[in-house]
Amino acid sequence: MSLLLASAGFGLITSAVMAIAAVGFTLQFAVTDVLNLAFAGVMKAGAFTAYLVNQAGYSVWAGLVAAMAAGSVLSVLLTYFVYAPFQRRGTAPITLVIVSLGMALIIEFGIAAVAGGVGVSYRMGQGRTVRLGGLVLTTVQLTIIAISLVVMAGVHALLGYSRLGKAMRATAGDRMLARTCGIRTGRVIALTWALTGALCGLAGTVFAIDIGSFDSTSTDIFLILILAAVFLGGPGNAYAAMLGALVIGLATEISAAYIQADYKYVVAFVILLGMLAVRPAGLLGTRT
Amino acid sequence: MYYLIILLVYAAVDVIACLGLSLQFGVAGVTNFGFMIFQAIGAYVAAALALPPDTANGGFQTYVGGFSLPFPLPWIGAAAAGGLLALPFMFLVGRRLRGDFAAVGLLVTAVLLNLLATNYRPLFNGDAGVAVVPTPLAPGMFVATSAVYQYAFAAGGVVLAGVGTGSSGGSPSRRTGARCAPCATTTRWPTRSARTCSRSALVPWSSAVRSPAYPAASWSASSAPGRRRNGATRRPSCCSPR
Repeated sequence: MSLLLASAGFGLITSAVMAIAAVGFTLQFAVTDVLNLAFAGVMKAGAFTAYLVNQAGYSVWAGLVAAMAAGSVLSVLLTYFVYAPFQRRGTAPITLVIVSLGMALIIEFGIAAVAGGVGVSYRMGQGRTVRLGGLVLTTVQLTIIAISLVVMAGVHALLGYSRLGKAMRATAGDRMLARTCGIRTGRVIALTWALTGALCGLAGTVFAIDIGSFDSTSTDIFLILILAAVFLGGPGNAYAAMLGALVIGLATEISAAYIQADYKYVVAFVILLGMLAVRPAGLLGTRT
Repeated sequence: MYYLIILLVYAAVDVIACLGLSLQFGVAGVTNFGFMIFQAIGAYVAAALALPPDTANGGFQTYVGGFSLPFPLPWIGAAAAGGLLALPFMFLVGRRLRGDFAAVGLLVTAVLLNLLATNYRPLFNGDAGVAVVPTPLAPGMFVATSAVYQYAFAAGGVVLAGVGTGSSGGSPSRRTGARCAPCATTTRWPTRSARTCSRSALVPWSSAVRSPAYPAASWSASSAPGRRRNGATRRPSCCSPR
């Protein structure tokens, strides 16, 4: 029982990190219509920005803010200089996926060229250990979960109660119809890139805090997990991404405790494939 | 020069792999991000068929199979394995998933199988991989370590790739595929008829063999699609009036 609770604790932290990334990814995908495989690259850029800030003598939490800004700027630059020109030329969505894959490689090896191939870690303490029932978590881990909950609440408020959120949902539903209704879809898409880029930078940094030591390749398998979480819930739906992240995060960590740590991702992927075979549109998705 | 010839060998291997991917992606409209596992299973199966049992060579590696089959049987087996591996994918892509869902489903399957192959050592020696795979035709015709062998291998690869490129224009699968192209490219999601063609395209273009000791490729261009279970040849249903 204690093993289950301990692994569930790890699962909750992984889910919290994954949920931030998955919500960012799914919003980006739904509104901009780009399946951005360079998402993990932007996460790395955010994590390394936070590292630079941390190395300059500031707290890692200040680095977190810098990472959000860096993720936001990098995402906007990506769309402005790379994706938008392709979209203007009428490039097929799947070709854009290949373009984003190319950008992912450019960012990854760009970071590797600058930062080197060695693992780095933030200068920070893990805080004291807190026992919640059977769960044993550090204050840093609790902070990560709290950040994730705040982000989820913020996304809920944004989508449900703000004009921008409604415009984003309208743009995701039908871009042409949204435009004819007077929504400035170009501006909404640019803001979505900035917002999801910030989420991406944030996710990259909390991921790096969570795993301790990271390098330019650390987020590669995490991207596949994000994709699994997004498509498990149903792409384009922020709440589905949260649910998908919770399922995938818990499944990986609990299976790591009971089977072998090497196979923990296998369990997550089997769940996703089983899900796709039974409900191809995802847990909360509706087939269009 | 030796470096150049090695590059040529790999280029020829990639040409053959790209032929299969081109047919799936460009013609049939299947975005197969899991293509690497078709190539990997070809390499593994060819190695398992060509190698002696794993107790040989001092038993320093473990793997299933080990049939010591002569060339070209391992290559034919590799191509068949690629085709067999396509069957479950056919179900996944052809019947259940479309577009981005199919791309993600195949990508996740590829990563999953990769994790299994690299972590489960009894299957194909885990992440160390399978080594000392016998080189095709080496003892009889060439010395495997000589430059002549590399030249012959590269030339063979290029010829194979060239034949593949040429024959794909006239093969039944290509004809079927070409007829699919309009409906696969004009609709964002493949229509039912286009998906029928996707299934047929996924099977014959199976796998390319690629491993350090086995830097060559094989594929099955001759296994024509369109055989129904009752043996009757399928009419290319795509683009026909419905």
